[in-house]
Amino acid sequence: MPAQSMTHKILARAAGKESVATGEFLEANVDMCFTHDPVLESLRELFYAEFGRDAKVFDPDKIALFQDHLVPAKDAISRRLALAMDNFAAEQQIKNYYPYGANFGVCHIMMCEQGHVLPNQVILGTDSHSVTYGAFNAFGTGVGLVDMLNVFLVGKLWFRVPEVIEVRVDGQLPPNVLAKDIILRLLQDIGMDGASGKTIEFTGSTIDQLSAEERMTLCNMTVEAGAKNGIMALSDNARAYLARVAPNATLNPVTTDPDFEYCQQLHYKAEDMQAMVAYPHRPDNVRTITQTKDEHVPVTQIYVGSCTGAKFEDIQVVVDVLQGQKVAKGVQLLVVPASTNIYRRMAEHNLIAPLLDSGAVIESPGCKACYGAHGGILGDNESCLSTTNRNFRGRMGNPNSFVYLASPYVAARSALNGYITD
Amino acid sequence: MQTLIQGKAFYCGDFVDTDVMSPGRFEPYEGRDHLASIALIDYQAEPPFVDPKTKNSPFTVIFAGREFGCGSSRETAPQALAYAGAKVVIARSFARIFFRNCVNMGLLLPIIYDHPFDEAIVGTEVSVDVEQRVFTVKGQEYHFSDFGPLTDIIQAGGLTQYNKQRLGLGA
Ligand code: SF4
Repeated sequence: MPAQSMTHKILARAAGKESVATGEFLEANVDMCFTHDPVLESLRELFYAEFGRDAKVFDPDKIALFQDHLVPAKDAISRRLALAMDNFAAEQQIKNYYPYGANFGVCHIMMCEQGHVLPNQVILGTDSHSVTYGAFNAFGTGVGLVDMLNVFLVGKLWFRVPEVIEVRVDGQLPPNVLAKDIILRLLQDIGMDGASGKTIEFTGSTIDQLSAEERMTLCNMTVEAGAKNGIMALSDNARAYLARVAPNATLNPVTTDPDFEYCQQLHYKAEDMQAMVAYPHRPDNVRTITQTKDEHVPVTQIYVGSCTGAKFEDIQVVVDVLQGQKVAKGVQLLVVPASTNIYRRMAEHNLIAPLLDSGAVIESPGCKACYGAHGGILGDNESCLSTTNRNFRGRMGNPNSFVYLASPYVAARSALNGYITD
Repeated sequence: MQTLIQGKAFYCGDFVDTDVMSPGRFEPYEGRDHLASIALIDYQAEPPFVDPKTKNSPFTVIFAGREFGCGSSRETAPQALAYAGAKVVIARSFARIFFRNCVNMGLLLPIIYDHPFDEAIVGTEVSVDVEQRVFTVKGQEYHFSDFGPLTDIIQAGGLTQYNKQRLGLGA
């Protein structure tokens, strides 16, 4: 049997095989999958049109539905999409349904927080950042509407077994250097197609010590290098997180065989890392904060949001830096917690009043301006420092604006100073 | 799948992302024509991919650089290009979800070819013979590789048709 990476082992298990070879095409059983509001209405229509009026999904308990991109309803069509989701959930008896209301948020964060992500599973979403789930030793990847349409019916999908790049990070990160800085550094080094169609597997003592949420940040942005999935061995912190969100689950984590041959290996010393900033209009257009500071880049909006940069710890970092001090004149600071659970914890941990004291506006959870549909669109020639994952032209709603990406720490420091700094 | 495709060429550079193909600010879409009208709207090119007057594209074959369609999983990106009039993309490489979406939807044929073309090709008449796996530009023929294990899905017209035929499913 050829040596297997953890990704190989998950795909082999899901395809009912003992082992798989890199480059092999296989059909894998899907353990969990989801779609969200921009996609579901079309998917629902196609599902019944293609597979018959009485068609049923393969397993309602292996499907989750989220309203995150277009809530609260941006317009009448958005509301129609939300109502289509109500109907589909009822017709197909999908219990894992998280509509706008008491318990909702950005799909990837909800997937993890609700215990839908477990080690060794194949997890698909109609969203590219489904690579996040590697933080919990799962194979998570994004697919499009037609893939998911078919998965909803048959519960399986074809994959090509990917080559694997090892990214090893050892040692202790300097203070205020976060997972976001590690992934931006990696993007700077390998570029937007550096891992095209491949797996990025993170190893090393730094990765083992990261908090569960920081591990999510790292895996989340592997797709920015074109990766099929990001993954890491289960750690104590990841186990503790799973014990909270899925207390009854049996965990069957996988590891990479010691003699497995990676297609490429990169090795970083955590001590050498520093805060990084991605410049418009590409997430791999990255400079160090030292270079950026010298350039004195003014920003008028600070956006703390998305599946990448608005988890509980991200917001806590922002509060710790601000300490109730006022943001610079002319700067608007938007904080968009990724889920209601995070919002609630902000209240319980007294993070809300200090943010308001600083002049922040706390928005309800959701994708919002991260992808430019609504809620924080930039003006012409305006620049924003964002804790999100993409800064493509027009990503935040205006092709004549500029988006810089950085960690929540840099975001908070920049909010106080009115220009990008640490 | 149509086997002989002919029409004018458009050119895109490297790393053209799905956000410039169908930007989030236009979501939710009002329908097919709306989607076609904004195809590649944030990709800066002269002339643009979609003619602002007709709201359709005069281009049938898109030549692209590396990692075409990087970014999000939105199927509206390949749909927008196809609804506007494109039938084929010939790229040096594709982002994986975009490539899957093209194969699965059967609307836009994704051909991987490490070609030497640039902006100069814009407007040139190109023909693509899908069965013979060759495309022709100014009398010169370029042969591309087959689709391997994906051939059956492409020939069926997409993943849904393929699964219906294979599993005897559906309406
Ligand atoms: S928060 Fe942004 S990146 Fe994350 S799922 Fe929503 S739109 Fe996509």
